[in-house]
Amino acid sequence: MEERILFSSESVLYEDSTNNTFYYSFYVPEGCKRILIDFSYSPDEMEKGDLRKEKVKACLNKYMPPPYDKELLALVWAGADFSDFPLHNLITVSIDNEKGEYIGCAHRHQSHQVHEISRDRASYGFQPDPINEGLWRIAVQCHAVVTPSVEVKTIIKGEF
Amino acid sequence: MRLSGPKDIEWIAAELHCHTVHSDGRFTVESLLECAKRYDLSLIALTDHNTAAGVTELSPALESKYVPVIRGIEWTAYYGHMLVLDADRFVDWRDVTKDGMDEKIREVKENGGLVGIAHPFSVGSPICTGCCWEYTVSRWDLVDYIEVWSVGFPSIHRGRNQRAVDMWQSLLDEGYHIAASYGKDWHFEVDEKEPWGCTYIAVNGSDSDLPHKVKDAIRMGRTMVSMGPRPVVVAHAEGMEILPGDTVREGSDVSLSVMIDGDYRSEQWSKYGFVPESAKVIGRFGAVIAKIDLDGFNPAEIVFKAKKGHFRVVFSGYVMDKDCEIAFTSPYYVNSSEEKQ
Ligand SMILES: [Zn+2]
Ligand SMILES: [Zn+2]
Repeated sequence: MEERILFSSESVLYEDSTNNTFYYSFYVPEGCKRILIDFSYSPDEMEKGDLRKEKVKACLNKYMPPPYDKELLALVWAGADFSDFPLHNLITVSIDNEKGEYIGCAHRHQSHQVHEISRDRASYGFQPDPINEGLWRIAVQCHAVVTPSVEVKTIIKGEF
Repeated sequence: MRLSGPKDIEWIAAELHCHTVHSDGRFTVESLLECAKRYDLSLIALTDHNTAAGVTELSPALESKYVPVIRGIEWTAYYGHMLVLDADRFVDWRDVTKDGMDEKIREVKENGGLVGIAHPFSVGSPICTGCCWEYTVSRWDLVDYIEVWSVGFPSIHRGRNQRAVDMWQSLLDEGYHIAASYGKDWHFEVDEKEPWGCTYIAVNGSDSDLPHKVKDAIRMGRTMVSMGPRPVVVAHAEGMEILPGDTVREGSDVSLSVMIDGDYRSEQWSKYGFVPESAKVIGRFGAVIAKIDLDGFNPAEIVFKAKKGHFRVVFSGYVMDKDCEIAFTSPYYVNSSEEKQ
């Protein structure tokens, strides 16, 4: 069995990247039996501190308007301490095969993910696929960047 | 005491919003199905975030061992979460813009899918990304259902739930026909400290091909939302039995036999101490058209004249010693007398 790198990228996403999808194509040569995706981003979450507390409060205020959430809002206004309330970056990947068919996505909070796709099996979130030669696509869904920036690394390998 | 009507209809309990390890749930597909059966649910919809990979694990053997499953996906997009059930093909959610959801909904519907808006007033980004519905929709006529109650003790945790009910009510007031659903947004099994609900759905006849029957029933608006127990509403108008989603003429005499079924799935909810106290008929703009006190789980009769727009039945009472709503039906619709049926 031979393993080859099919694609790799390092990029930086920013707060303004939030709510956008970034697409990359990668070429899968003939004879490839299995695709391995190593995807990671860093940092995983926003550092504890005033800035984070403000972000949490702003979010709660925006989405919990009175009168429905009077009690919860009272906590916010009464200076309830949200110091321990975490805020995570959330970036996910989805894959399309050479026909443009959606193979799946791993939508979960996990800043380092390893996935595989082959004819017989696939990691959770993805469907098995015969792996045909052609241009495949990986989409990076930027659901939330709460840190000033986040480094995103993708390595796609093929097994032959 | 039982109430039954002439129609060969059974109201089954369903959970229409479930996740597994294929997205961020802790259930495997099999453990989800096993749990659903143990909770006396008759059907679930598998709606993982942005993937239908879990569907590839389903088989007739697995579904007949546990519960039948509607194939679905929860569009976990940037400005809202949308439940898509049983579409013939994948519709891409990734390129939807804030103003572009109408087009996507139309595409899902053209491919035979059902469209439901999930937890429209959950706290949104960045605490829960895209969890609050912020897409501009003008084609509400294409939306099949709204998840007006979600997660635990919906009628007490009013924040997102009451706002969702209000949103639904105003769409109904504008003349749209939209069913209601409950969504547990089930990710893993927990020791439930508070009551949680389910959607009751009216299906015809035998158990065969339940997923398609349920799909048709939701499309027709034949649902009831409950915090646990099954409401029973036998409604007659114009000499026929009518179900939620049906339309009657303005001015028709409507008679309802109503009760909360004290037995059905009682293992799942009786520990929370349900005490039914009243049933109300709510019409346009939230107007109370009729109200009757309930003597616990016994039936009562309500008679009223149908007013233009719609009406639904809302059951209230005590749950865990709290005064709250227990369940409600999706609307029955009322045509003004000039309109053709
Ligand atoms: Zn959701
Ligand atoms: Zn969900």
